[in-house]
Amino acid sequence: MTAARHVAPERLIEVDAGRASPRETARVDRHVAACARCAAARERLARARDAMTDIAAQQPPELGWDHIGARVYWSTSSARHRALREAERPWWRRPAVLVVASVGLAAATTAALALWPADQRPGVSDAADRAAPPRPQAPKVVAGSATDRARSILRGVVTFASGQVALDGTEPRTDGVELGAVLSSEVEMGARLRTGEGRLVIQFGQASGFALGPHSSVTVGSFDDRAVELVVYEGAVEVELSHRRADQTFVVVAGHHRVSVVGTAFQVAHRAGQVDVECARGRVMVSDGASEVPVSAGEQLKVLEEAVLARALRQTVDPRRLAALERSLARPLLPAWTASPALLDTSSTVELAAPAGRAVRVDGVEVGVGTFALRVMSGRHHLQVSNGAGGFGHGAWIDAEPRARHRARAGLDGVVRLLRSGTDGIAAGGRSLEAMRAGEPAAAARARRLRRRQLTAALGGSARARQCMVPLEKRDLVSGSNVLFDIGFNADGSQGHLNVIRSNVPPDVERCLRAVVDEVQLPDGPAATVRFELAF
Amino acid sequence: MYEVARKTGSGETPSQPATQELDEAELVRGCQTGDRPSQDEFYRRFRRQVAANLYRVLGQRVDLDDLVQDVFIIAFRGLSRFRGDARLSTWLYRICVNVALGRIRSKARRPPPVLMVNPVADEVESSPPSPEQALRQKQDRERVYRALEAMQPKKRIVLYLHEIEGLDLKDIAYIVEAHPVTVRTRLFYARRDFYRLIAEDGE
Repeated sequence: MTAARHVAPERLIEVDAGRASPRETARVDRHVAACARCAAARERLARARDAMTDIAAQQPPELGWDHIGARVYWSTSSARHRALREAERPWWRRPAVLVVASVGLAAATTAALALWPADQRPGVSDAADRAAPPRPQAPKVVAGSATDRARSILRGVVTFASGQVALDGTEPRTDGVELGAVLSSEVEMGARLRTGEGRLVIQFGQASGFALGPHSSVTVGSFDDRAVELVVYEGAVEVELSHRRADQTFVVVAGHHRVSVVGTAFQVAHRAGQVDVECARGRVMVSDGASEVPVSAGEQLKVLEEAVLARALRQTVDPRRLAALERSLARPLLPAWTASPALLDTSSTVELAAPAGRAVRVDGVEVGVGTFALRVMSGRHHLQVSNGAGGFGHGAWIDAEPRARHRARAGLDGVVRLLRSGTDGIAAGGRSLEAMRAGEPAAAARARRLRRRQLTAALGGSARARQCMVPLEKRDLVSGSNVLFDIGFNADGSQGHLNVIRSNVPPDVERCLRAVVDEVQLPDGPAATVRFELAF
Repeated sequence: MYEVARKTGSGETPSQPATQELDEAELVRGCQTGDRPSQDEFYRRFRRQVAANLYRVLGQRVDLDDLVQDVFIIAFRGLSRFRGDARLSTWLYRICVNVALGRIRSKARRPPPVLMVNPVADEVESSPPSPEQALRQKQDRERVYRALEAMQPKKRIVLYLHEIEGLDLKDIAYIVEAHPVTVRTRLFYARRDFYRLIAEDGE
């Protein structure tokens, strides 16, 4: 055997497995010793055999077993097949349609009769009227007016204010601003917002908002559901937008430049004749009327007011700066599920006086530094202030009621004291929840037990709650589902606040269950805040 | 936030010991009559085996969820025709192989990926090897899968079932629905092709 006639791979395998004769084995060994190619092939084959053993021992990765199972059952269940068969039938033959159609017809007739003024209702001669020539129609409304009428005016709610801020365009006072009053004001079209050494956050629409940094001056131009326009005279404005209507525009004007929004989160700064646009998420278009430059996520564009925009250089934002911008944007814009007008009714304000430079956490999330006022959803909130050594103390709990103003003060040691509204007296401040619970009178505990019993009776076997679970029932995922609520009951049995504390169901199901609980009205009794779990 | 799946998950500690004790015949009967606990038990008992078969034969976890789902949908729909002439696990092997073959063929019709997916990237080993060893093992496994991917699907499946799963010719014949002699011939050529591909790989 020569190097020209190499050993066949299957022969090498036979030899290595000991299935070849001694003579054949010796011959192959001699050749492999002299042939680099066959030696390499023998090595690769041996390693491949090891690899196959290795593969045989491999365990599959963890998969979403329950999710797969649910899809399998749904695909193979008789209910699905029935639904498919149903879908193949002509629509007019489906019983559900017939029922809905007849009910809908009856409802429409009833509604029409109820809404139609009695003196204008058709009489028995209705059939004759129908046969008569049509009456002259009222003049049509011009398209422009219809569009104007369709516009819905936005109102912004101040969710955070610190330092020197003003909503009326005046120079922010340096001798102390009544932050609580700022938070109870609404922001409308034409508002002129100014900050000195301070920060101002306004929320509008469905969880959208903008924030003014220090030394900023911004006018709210348009402010409706079709168009929002902010004019930045000086300083910086950070914008965070939730989902918008397709025909809604959002524009920030800075000097000669217009920044129109394609994406969701960005900052526009206008300082010393220079416009600086940084985009954290999504995309924005910067325009000077003659040309347009897109700025994508993670990019920034710096352009002098008088310079040609087309020649401006786009740069990547420094990662640390980008992270800081993200943090800044995520801060005090409340993750509200209600639109801003309703936000005023369902939230309350917390005014905190803390030593300068001390970080403040609300419910474990750092929201600001030093003294500020913040809007929070009603319910129980945990307030903590940095103790100067980088740590946070136990803090204090606030039971925030809708539209209420809560005040707190923190000392240099980070201990938070709650102040009674309208007074400087110290309420039950600075105590942890456990301490509050341990010291609470037996009457409060009795009240909670009573309210919980009443709530259980009101919701036990609720058909509406079961209806909420239908989407999960189809996937057989009902068992083990639960939602924990924190509910504050007033003395007249109405609910002061309702918060979801913990949930393991999808958001739509959670919303549905929350609506069910929200409608519960208990009889008169003691006021109490209870934790209540809906478990299935 | 959404933890329903985990909570209701059957996991590996089923909450219904009665159904766990079911033997195969009872399990099949239960599934055939649409008994939900039996279907649950069937899925729980075989889901890992099915995932492992598909994972090993394809060498990647891309779309593995969908493939496992396909196998069980076919299985539940076909259980009424299961005659009991093979073990349930072997019958499931057959479905896995057909699903995997479909996958291999559809993949062959698509342009090849630029980057080969690491078949064991997410594998957790009990005693981690040194970085050099790990890299070498990874390269070896990739070489094996490269060779398997270059083979004809029918040969690839037979080789996989024999060399990796360790099944005998009779079982393989049942799974691939061929005569044992045909399987033996196919295996002979599959081995030859595979070893040649391995020996020539890297030259």
